[in-house]
Amino acid sequence: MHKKVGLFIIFLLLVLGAWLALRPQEPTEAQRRTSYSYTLLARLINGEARGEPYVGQVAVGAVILNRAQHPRFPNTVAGVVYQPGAFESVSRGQIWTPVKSSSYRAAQAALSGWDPSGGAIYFWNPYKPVSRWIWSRRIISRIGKHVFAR
Amino acid sequence: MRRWTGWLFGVLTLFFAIWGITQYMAKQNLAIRLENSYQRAFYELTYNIDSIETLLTQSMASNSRERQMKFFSDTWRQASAAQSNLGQLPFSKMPMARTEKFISQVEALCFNLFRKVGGGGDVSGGNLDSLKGYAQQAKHIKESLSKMQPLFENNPSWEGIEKATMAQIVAPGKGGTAPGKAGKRPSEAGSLENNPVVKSFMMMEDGLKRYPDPDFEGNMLNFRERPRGFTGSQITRNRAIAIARKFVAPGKQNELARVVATEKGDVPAFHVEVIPRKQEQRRGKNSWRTLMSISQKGGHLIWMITERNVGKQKLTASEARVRGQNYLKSLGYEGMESLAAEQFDGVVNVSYVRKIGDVWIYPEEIKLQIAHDNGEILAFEAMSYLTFKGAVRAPAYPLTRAQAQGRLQKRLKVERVRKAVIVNDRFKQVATYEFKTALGKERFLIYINAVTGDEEKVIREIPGQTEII
Repeated sequence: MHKKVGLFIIFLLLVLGAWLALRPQEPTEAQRRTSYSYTLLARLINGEARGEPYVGQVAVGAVILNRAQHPRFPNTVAGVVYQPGAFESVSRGQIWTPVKSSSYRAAQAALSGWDPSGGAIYFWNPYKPVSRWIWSRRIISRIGKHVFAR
Repeated sequence: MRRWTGWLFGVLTLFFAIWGITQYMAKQNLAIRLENSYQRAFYELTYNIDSIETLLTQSMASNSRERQMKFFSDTWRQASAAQSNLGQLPFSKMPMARTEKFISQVEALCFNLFRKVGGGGDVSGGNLDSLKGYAQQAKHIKESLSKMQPLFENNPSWEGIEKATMAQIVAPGKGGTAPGKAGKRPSEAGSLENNPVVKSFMMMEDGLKRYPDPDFEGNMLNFRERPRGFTGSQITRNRAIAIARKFVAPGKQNELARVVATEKGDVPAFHVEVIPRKQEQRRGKNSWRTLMSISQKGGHLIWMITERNVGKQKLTASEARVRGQNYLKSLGYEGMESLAAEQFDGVVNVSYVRKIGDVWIYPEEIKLQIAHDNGEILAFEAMSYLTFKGAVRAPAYPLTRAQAQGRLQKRLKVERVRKAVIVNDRFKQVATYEFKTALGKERFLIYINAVTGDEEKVIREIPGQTEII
């Protein structure tokens, strides 16, 4: 009887351990402090570029920051991210999926000044339907599945 | 028995009817709330544009410095609000470039004029021409928007645009569309283009194109510093690969390296990827991959990013800093000294700045990301360095340190002084004295121009965020 209870407790601990190990990672205090835009940027990167190589994730983050600096876009990260219809993952609610630690790292790199997009203000996946006029933008580079344009 | 099934059927019907009605009402409720938020953004935009038009016109008539400053700051504020409101309308998939340009230019012009008049300057003839040009454009937008009002009187109008926009972006692709052909789906694209509100906005946009683009002196909106560090001749792909090998860790210099893409931005570049030769190192826990951008002219490394898991911390922050310094030196970046460091999970970002004598040249900055486990340089960023490289040789310091310090606010306690060249908010490189000062518990970096004595910049230091070395 006691043996069974013991085994059950061990099983519970194992489940708890697995859960602790596998749950999405929280940012550290140092990361959180860095910027108010940080978490939102990480969410957008996670929503838009989860399956992309890390460099592609940093580039997506850089595009958001480039937009916030650009005179023709809203001036804040929140304004850019929540511009109606601007990002598929925001429209569909995917930015609320648990954020992977690599998305946090990518957001950090973009905020620290890394811009692998080459100063782009647009990106899209050429194999998905996108609005026609976006193809009139000047394409700068291609990283993973995304093209980056100005 | 039959009576029993009859009852069950009745109850179920009633249940589903009530459920359906509740769902419908909830949906209606949300749709109305969405419509209302779009309506609010639209009406606020109308108000902002009305105000801009009136204020611009008034500012041209005024001859009082105080009044003019109020007109310019109000216009600036209204333009900023207009941009925010326009950004909340579901137009992200439509080219509204001309209207957005108008708003941002009015904002910048009025900010410039506010500073000019506040600094004792006068509104020039050229300024008046610009104001007049923008007032005409504002009038056009104002009239177009007021013509749209009847469109909103009968039925919810924004819902249609919202749906058409979403259909364009979230429509499931039928096996993927080839580049260049995407978006040519008549039913969805058509419904957006035929929407009366969208049509009116497009007409407004077209109308705006007929006005001359007034522009104004001191327009820095599209200013980009001409990069001067990309010296040298065109390089081949093989040369780019050879250069890339120099920047990775010594143990990785014989791994696979290839050009994976070309970059066609302001600075054409090759993207060189370095990956392990061993298949098993390409996936899983010990996998790594480095991507670099190397300019086609001169073969300068612009950025490098390495993706890998970082193990336990073995290096102290200062050891990491020294590694970075040696790394730069060994690659031929002379006179770079560490300026600031930021610690994150497993890595430290250190910025190195060029020092000429005792003067720090802040724009010539290279950032390195250094791994805490073995000191490998994971990432490199030199866009600023390459843009400003060699722009300053021997900066002049006509004002003495004491003279510059005299320009500080008297309540500040000076803790440290440095000579630093910075880029000011007019995008000019200026020689300054950097005073690290304290006011109560707050710390500030204050930059005093070493020629004019003007206060160029005030930076507040946030404790725990960046460690200035």
